[in-house]
Amino acid sequence: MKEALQTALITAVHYVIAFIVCLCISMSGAVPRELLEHFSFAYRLDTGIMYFISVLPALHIAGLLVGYSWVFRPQKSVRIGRWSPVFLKYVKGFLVLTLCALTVIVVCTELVNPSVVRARKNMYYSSADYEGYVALAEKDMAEGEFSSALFYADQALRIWPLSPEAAELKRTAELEYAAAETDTQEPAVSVPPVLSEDSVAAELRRARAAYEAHDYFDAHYYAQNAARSASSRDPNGVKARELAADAWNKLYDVYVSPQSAAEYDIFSKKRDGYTAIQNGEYLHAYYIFKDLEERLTSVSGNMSDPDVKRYLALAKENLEKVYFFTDETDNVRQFESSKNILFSLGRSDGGKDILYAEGITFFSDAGMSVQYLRNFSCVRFDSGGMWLGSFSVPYAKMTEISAGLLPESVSGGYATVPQILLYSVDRSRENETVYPEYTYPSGSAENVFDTGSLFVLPMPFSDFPLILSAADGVDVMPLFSLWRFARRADSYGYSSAVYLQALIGRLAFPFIILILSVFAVMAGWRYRVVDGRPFRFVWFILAPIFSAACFFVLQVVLYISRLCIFVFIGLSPSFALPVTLAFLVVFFVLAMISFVSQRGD
Amino acid sequence: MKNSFAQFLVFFIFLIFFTLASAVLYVVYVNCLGLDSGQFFIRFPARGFVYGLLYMLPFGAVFALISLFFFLIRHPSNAAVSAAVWAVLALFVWVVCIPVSFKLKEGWGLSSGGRPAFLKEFTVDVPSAGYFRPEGTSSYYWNSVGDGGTGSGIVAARDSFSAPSVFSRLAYDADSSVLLSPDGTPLPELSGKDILIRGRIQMPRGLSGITAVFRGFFERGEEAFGTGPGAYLCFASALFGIAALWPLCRMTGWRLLNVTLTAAGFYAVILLNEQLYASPFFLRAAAVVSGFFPAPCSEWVRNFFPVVFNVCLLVFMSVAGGLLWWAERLSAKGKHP
Repeated sequence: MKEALQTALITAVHYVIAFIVCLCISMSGAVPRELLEHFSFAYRLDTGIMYFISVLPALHIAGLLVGYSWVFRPQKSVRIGRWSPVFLKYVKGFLVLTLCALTVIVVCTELVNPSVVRARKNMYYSSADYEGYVALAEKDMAEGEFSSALFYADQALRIWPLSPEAAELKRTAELEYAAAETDTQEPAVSVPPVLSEDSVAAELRRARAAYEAHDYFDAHYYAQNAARSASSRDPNGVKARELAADAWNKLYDVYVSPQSAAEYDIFSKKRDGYTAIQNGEYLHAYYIFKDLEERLTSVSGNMSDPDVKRYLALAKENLEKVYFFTDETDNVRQFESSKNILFSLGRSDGGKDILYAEGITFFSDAGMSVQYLRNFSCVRFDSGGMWLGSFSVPYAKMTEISAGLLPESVSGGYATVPQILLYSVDRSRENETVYPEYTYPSGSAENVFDTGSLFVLPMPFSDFPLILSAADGVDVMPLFSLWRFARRADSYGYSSAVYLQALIGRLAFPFIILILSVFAVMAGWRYRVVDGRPFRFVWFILAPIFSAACFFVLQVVLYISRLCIFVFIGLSPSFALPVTLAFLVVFFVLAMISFVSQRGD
Repeated sequence: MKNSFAQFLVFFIFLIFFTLASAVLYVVYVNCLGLDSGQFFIRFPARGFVYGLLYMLPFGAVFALISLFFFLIRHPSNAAVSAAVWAVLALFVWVVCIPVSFKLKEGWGLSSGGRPAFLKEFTVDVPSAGYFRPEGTSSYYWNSVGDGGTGSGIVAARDSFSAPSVFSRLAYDADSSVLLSPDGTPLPELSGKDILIRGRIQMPRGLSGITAVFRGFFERGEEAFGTGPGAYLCFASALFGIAALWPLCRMTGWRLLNVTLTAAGFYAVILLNEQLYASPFFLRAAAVVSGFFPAPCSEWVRNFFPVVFNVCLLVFMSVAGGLLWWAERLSAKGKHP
C-alpha cells in the first residue's frame, strides 16, 4: 500500500497543478458579451472546472504512469521472475487507488460536468431573463402598472441581487405603488365556489331551495344537474326534470313586467348566457357574462350579482378546457428554455405527424405543468408517405391529461398524454379567436385535422422532457434520460443507434480507464527509473509531457472503442451493451494477468 | 547481443500487429461510414480489408521501426549491433514495405481518383426515412424514400418564424452523388453518408490533427514515388530524421521520459518532413532558393529541403548524443575510479 500512497500523492500533485493551470486559462479567457457582468466569475470558474474534468482521466493515467515508474525504482536490485508475489502485493494498492480515482472521475464526468454545463446554459438564460424583467419593469412603470413593475424588478433582483439598475427600479416602483394604493382601495372579491359533482338528491334539494328563493337560474342549473346525473329508474330524475322545466318557465315569466328596461336587458343577457351554458357554448357564455360583469362594475363600481359571478366562473372553467387566453403568452417568449424542438409521432392508422415548436416555455400552474409552444406546427403524412395537410399556430398550450376517457386510437394507450390547446381567445373581446392556419395539398379533403382545438399526442407525457433533453445534445443528456431515450429514439425521429452508442460509450468509459490504468502501471514498471540514477530537476519540468501523451492515448482508445461500439450495435442493438461490457471484462482480466506476469530486467 | 538480434523478431511482430490492427480498424471505420440510421448493416468487405492492409502498411512499418526504440530502451543491448540491425530494418521499410504499398495500391486499381473504388458501396445516396438530419440551419426529414432518389418529407428551418415546408420529391444527382433540395440547392452535408452517424465517428479535433500529419506525410511519399526514384529517395531521407532520435533512447536515467521524448521526437520529425513538402512557408523558401540555381537543379530544390533537414538533424543528434555519452562516461569514471 505504501507504493499506492506514494503514487496517490504524485497523482494528487498532477490534479492540483492541472486544476490551477485550468483555472488560470479560464480566468484569463473572455466572457461572452451576452452574459451579465454578475456572472463573469462564475462563468470563468465553470469553464475552468470543465477544462479540468476534460483532462481528469488523462491526469489519473499520467499520475499512475509517473508515480509507479518512480516507486518501482528500487526493484532493480531484486531478481523478479514472472508471477512474482511482488506484483500481487502491488495489485491491491493499485486497485484501491484506481477505484477511488474512478469514483472521482465518474462523479465529475456524470454529475459535476452536466451540472456545470447546465449552470453555464442557465447563465445565458438568466442574463436574457434579467434583461427581459428590467425591460418589462420599465414598461410597466411607464404605463402606471406599479404592482407589476415591482414584481418584475423583484424578479430581476433575484437574478442579480446587487444590480443598481434593478434596485433603483424596485425603489421607484415601491414608492409609486404605495402612493397609488392609498388612492384606490379595491374591495376583496370572493370567487364563487366551482360547482362540484354531487348526489342527485342533494342537487335536487339545492334546486328546490333556489326555486323557493326565486333564484330560477340556480334552480334550473341544479335541477338539470340532478336530471343528467339520475339514472332512468331514479324517481328523483323525473322530479328534477319537472323542477327544471318549472324553473325554466319562470325564467321567462318572472320578468314579463320588468321594473326597468335596463334591468330587463341584464336579465335577458343573463338568460342568454345561461342558455349558452346549457347548450355547451361556454365561449359564447363567457363573453356574455364577461360583458355583464363589466357593465355592472361600471354602473355600481362593484360587481355584486352572484349569478354573473358564478356563471362567469363556470363558463371560464369550461372554456379553459378547450381554449386558452391569448394574453397568457404575452411575455413568455423571453423565458423559453428549449428551442427548435422537432419530433415525429406515428399514428394508429400508420401515418405520421411531424411536430415542430420554435420555442417552449415552462410554467407551473397550481402544481400542474404548463408548456407554451411558440410557432407550433404539425405536418401530417398518411401511411403511404403522402402529405395530407399541415397546420401552424403562433402559440399553443400544452398540459398533461389522463388518457382514461380517450379512445386508444387517440391516446396511443398511454396513461397520461400531452394535450395541446390550439385555439386561443381574447379575454374580453369575442370573435378574436386565434385559429391555426391550415394548409392542404390541392384537391385533397380538408378534414384531416378534425380535432378542433384539442390536439392529443399519442405518446407518454413523460417522454416529452426526454425529447427536449435530446434536443440539447446527446453528450449532455443525463445518463438516466439517455438510458430511457436510447430505446425509443427511433419512434421520435432520432437515431437510436446514436443514443445507444453514447449510452454504451458512457457506461464503458470507467472500464476503459480501469484497463488503461493497468497498462499505465505496466508501462511504469517496464520504463521505471534506472536504479542508481539521481533525480534531476529537469525531469520534473518535463512531467507535463506525460499528461499530454496520456491524453492523446486516451483519445485514440476512446475513438477506437466508439467505432467498435457502432459495430456491435450494427450486429445486434439488443446485445451491444452486454457484448461491449463482456469485451471490456475480458480485456481487463487479460491486462491484469499481463500485469502480474511482468518480470525484472 | 541477443536483444540486438531479437529486434528482427520484435520488428516483424509489431509490423504484423500494427498493420493488421489498423487494417481491421480501417474496415470498421469504413463500415461505420456506411451505416445509415435505422438500417444498420455490418459488412466485411474483402477488397476493403486488402486495401486497408496496403494503405496501413507504411504506417505499420514506420510505427514498428519506432517501436524498436522502445524495445531497446527497455532491453539493454550492444549499441553497434543494434544500430546495424535497425539500419537494415529501416532500409527494408523504405525499400520494400512503403514502395510495395504504393505500387500495389496503384497497380491493383483499388484507388480511383484518389478514392478507393470499393468505398462507393459504403455511401448512402439517399438518407433513410424517418430521421431528422441537420443541414446548415435546417433540419431535413424524409418521410418516405423510393427508388431512384425520390421521396417526400419536410424541411424545418431553425429560427425562421415559419412552419416546416413539405417537399414531395427529393432530387438526387447520381453523377455528383449530391442531394438537391426542392429548390435545386445542393445539400452536401446530407449527401454520401448519414450525417447522424458521421457526427459520432468523427475524430476529436486534436487527434485528427495528429493523424492528418501522418496521412499527409505518406501522401507526399506517394506523390514522390509517382514522380520517380530520385524524388522518392529524397522523401526516404526521413529515415535519417527518425534515426536521429537514437540518442533520445538513452538520454536520461528515467526510461519513461526517454520513451515519451522519443515518441514526441518521432511526431516532430514526421511533422517537419510533411511541412517541408506542403507548408506555404517552405514552398516560398524553396522558390526563393531555386532562383539561385539553373533550371534543371532548381526543380530539385523542394525535394532537397527534407534531405538537408534530415541529414543535419542526424549529424546534430549524433554529435549531441556522442557528447552526452562521453560526459556520462567521464562522470562514471569520476565516481568509480
